Amino acid sequence: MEDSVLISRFKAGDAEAFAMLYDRYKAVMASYVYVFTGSREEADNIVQEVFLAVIRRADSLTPEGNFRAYLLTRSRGLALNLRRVKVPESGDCPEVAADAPGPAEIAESMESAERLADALAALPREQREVVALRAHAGMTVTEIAEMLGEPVGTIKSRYRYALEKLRTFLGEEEQ
Amino acid sequence: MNEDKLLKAVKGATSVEVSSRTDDAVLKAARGKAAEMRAARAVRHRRPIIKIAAVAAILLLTCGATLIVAATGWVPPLTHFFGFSPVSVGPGEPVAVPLEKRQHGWESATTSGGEIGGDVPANDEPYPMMFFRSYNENPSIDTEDQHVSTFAADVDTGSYTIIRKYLNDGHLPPEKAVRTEEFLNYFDYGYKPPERGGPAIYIEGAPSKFGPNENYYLLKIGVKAKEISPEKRKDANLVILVDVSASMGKGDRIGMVRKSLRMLLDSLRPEDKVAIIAFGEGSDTVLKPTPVKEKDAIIHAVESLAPQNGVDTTNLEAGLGLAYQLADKMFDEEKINRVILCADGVANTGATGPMSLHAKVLQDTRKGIYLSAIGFGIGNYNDYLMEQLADNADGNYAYIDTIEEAKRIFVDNLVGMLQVDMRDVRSQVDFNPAVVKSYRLIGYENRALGGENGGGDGGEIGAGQSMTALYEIRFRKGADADLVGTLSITETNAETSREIEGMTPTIDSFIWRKDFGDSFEKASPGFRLAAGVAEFAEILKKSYWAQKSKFSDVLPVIKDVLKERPDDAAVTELLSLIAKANKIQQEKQNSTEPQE
Repeated sequence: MEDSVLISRFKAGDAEAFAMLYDRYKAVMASYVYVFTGSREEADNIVQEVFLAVIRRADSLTPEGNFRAYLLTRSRGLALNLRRVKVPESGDCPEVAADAPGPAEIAESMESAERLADALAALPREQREVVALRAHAGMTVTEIAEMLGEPVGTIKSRYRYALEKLRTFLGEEEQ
Repeated sequence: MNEDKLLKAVKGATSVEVSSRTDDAVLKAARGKAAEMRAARAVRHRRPIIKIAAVAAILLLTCGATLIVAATGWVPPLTHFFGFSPVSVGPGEPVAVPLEKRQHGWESATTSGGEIGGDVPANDEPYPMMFFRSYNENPSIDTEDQHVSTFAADVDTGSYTIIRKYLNDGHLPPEKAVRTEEFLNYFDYGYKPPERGGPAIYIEGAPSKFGPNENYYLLKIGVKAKEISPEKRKDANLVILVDVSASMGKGDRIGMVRKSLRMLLDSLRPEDKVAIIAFGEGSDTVLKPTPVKEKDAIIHAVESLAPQNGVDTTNLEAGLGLAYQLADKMFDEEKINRVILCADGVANTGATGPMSLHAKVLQDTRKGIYLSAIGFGIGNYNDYLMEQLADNADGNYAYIDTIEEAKRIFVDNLVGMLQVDMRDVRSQVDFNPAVVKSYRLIGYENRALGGENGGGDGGEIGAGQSMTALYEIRFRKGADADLVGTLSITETNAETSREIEGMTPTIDSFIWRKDFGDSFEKASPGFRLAAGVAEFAEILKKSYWAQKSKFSDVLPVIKDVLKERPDDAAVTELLSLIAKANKIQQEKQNSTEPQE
């Protein structure tokens, strides 16, 4: 069901509709904030804070708006507000990945996850952010540019540099 | 690895699940809100006027408290503004002047002759050339006409220190020099800093000591930004812009500037950088950007600052232009970037007013360079220009009358002065018309925001700084709802300097009937102090709302506060200033009354 439909239903008093929206975006937001701030705990807090604010102001929610961009931008604002941004530590990789692979691949994937976390941590915040939005929210470069209020070219080059660096980093590791 | 595979790997490596604690909190709040909205819809369809629609439990983790929201049919809108036109006023009551008119009417502040600072008493020599601007007082507004009040945050204290100078010199100040909010913000109300994230908000209400009758209450709103220790603040790139025109030689203003700058220098850290520009007839770089660890070079430059005797032209436009050029060159987004203007504000060549200076110099400067306007001197001093420059340039304004004030600004409160924590801050109170009949914002007259979305430039709050606002409100008789109103503090992120429309992080607080005590005397010392300070300002200002009040009414209130806070030097001083004002006024009355 479309976000707009769910929002309308929630405004009509349907709590289930909101639960569906919440399930749709909570992990995306948490992961985005995590890549941004390097703190799981803050990611969790921020998701909660953003959703509570949205609920509080449900009266002014409009179904026409881009709800995903709204949630991500608010998360971003709060993350930036923390001002104690740290990058993900290599030892701080997740216990279980969201779309967990089969048992045979787990050992290998844990190792590469650790390497990737290292590689991501080495990227500047702006580049890390674009990769996170691509990976977790599945947003296109144009959508990211629109959300961040930056020229498409800027986002494209951030993304290109980020991929290049990730590849180099992983490539070197593999050799 | 191809792009898709790489992204998938990134996703796998950085996926975060939210905790069940968060799930519970959000879903519970959603259920509560859904029920509330269902009920509101049902009632809306039934009757046009609604008393109480629904009850919702909202868990506000930021506030750390569970609040029960009794929602009335009144829905706090987010986009209203402080309206002026539909206000009904009683006979003789002040009517608010729309903001545009206030701004374009500024010439009145700079006319010559009796207009300027001519209201000082005749029993001593009046200062000949003081420039102030009057903003009148806010009206009392009926919530049925307008229930939303929006104003830009302000933490400046300049007006209070100017008035202190007047009183200590034995004069009552001109009314125009009094900005009540700058009195309020001078004092410490004991707000604890927030534990994390955004500002801490404090709300307290009680019957008004100075209101016309027992139906009047005061509502005090305190906002405190998070504190940053001097070691943890960002490094600073400072351009110090010093007025060295002949007027700065009067009463050794420049000597006070030099002393103040040496204090500043002692509080800075070795990694900070300082550049100094002097301006008078033209402008000149006295010191290129120099790290503070090279202290001798900087002290040498500070000591070389001397008034250009015989040069009576002051080109502030040239000075500001050069200072911002240099600040732009030094700009580093990881650091504090600030221009500190030390001047008496008397500009007479080039652009000389805040509007023209803004148009010619400030509006095209890079975002993220802040201004501190520090005023020096009495006799000829342009408060209007200095204050408005700061307001227009994301800045702060202070007036240094004594070396102790220099210490307060440059040593004790340096971090707050240098490092902005909350940018473009607006405060919006939405009163519940079912409970509040009318309200009056005390002070902040030149900070009212207009436009569709309460638009206009907000104010800046530095690290650890706090802002206090008072409303005088009248409750509706027999009102039984508990929700008095809501408070929204909106800000632009100071790190990114980017405002995202409708999406800026917003801190909300509810204002409840139970936040109001039942007697003024039982209110907290901070509350009573604020009430006394505001009344003192209003009497000095000859406010319509304080016509019947006397300085002697305020004295006992402050005396009581002092009993509970005997170590508060600022309150001790306040008491002596009120006593002085009282004495000067009495002497004035005695000397003008016919001798029997």
